[in-house]
Amino acid sequence: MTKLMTVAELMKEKQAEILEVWLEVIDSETGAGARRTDLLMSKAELRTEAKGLADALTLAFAAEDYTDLAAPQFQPAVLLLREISASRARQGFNPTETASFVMSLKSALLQFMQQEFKGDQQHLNNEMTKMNVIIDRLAMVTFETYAITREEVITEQSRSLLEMSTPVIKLWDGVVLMPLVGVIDTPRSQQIIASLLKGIVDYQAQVAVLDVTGVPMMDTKVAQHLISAVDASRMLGAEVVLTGISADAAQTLVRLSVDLSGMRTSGLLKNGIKEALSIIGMAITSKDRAS
Amino acid sequence: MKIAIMKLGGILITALPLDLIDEDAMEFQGDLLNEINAHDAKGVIIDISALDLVDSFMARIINDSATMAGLLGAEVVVCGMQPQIGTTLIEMGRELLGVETALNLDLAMARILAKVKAEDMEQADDGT
Repeated sequence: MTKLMTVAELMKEKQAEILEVWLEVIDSETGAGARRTDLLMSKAELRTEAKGLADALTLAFAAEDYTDLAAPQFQPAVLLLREISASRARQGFNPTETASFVMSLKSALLQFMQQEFKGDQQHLNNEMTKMNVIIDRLAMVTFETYAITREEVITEQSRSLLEMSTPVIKLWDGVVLMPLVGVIDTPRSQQIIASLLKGIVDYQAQVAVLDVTGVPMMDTKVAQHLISAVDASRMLGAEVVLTGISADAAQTLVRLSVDLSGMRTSGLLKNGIKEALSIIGMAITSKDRAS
Repeated sequence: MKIAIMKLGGILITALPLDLIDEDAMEFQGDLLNEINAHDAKGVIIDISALDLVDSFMARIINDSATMAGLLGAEVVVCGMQPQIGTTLIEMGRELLGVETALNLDLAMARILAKVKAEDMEQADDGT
C-alpha cells in the first residue's frame, strides 16, 4: 500500500479545487449572510483573501507541533487572519459572518479528505483531528481580533463624540459660550475643563457662559465637576456664568444640598448672556431706545 | 538668577521665567517685598504666562507672596495662567490660588488701577 498523503500535501496538491469548493461553501452556508457579504465586498476580493489564506494554511498544516500557534509555520496564517478579521470588523461584518469564513474551510476540506483517505480510517481520523485543531485555533484568533477591533472602533467613536460635543464658541469679544450636551462623567468633565480653559485663553475671554440645557441629569457629581470648571476658569482670571439650569435640576441640587451660591447662575441662556455682557460693560438694547 | 521687578507708576510688574527653580522663587519673594517697601507700591502684577507647570510649592510661594504683599498694603494680581496649569491645580485639589487673577497684563493693569483708585477714594473720604 502506498503511503497516504498528509492534509498538508493534499492541500498543496489540490489547492485550486479546494479553493473552488470553499468559495461555494461560503456562498451556500451563510445564506442571507452571503448576500450581505456580496454587498460588503466583491467576489474577487473574497477570492483573493481565500487564496492568500489557503497558501498560508498549507504552510500551517505542515507544522509538526500543530497545537503551538506560536510556531513559525503558523505566523503567516495568523497574521493574515488578523488582518482579514480586523478589516471585516471595520467594514461592519457581524461575528458569524467573520468566523464562518474560516470555519467553512472545514467542510470544504472534509469533502476532499474523505474522498482521498477513504481507504484508511485511522489515517483519516488523525488528519481530521489535526485539521480540526488548527482551524479551531485559527477561528479563535479570528474572533479575538474581531472583538479587539470592534472595541477600538467603539473607543474611537466615543472619543470623537467627546470632542464633537464640547465646542467653545466666541459669543462676543471677551465672551465665550460652551453649550454642554449629554451626560457628564469624570473623563468627560476633564475634557470639558481642558477645552473650556483653552477656549478662555485662546479667545482671551473675561467671561465664559456654561450652558447646561443639554445635560439630562444633574447630581452631586455633575455639580462637583461644574464647580471645578468654574474654579479653574476663575484661576485663569475669567468669570463663569452657569445657565440652563432646569426647574428639576434646581430642585435636585437643593435637595442634595449642593451649594452653588458662589457661582453666577441663571435659568435661561438669555439671562446668562445678558449678565455676561454686563460684566464686560456691554448691553443689548433695542434700536428705538438707543436713538 | 535674578528676576526683574519693574516699577511703573506706583505699580510693580514682574514676570516669572520658564526655568524658575525653588531657590530663585524664594529669593524673588524677598526681593518683591523689599521693592514694595522701597517704592511704596500700591499694586503688584505677577505674570506667569511663561510657566507651563506650577507645583504645590510654587502655588504656595505665589499665594504667600500675595498675602505678604497685602500686609505691606499692596494689591496683587496674577495674570497669564496657562490652561493646563488651571487643570493641574484643580486636579491636585488645590482649589483657587487664593489670589486675584486676570487673563492678561492689560486686564491685570485695569484691575489694579481700579482697586488703587477705589482705595484712594476711600482714603480721601476718610480725610474729609
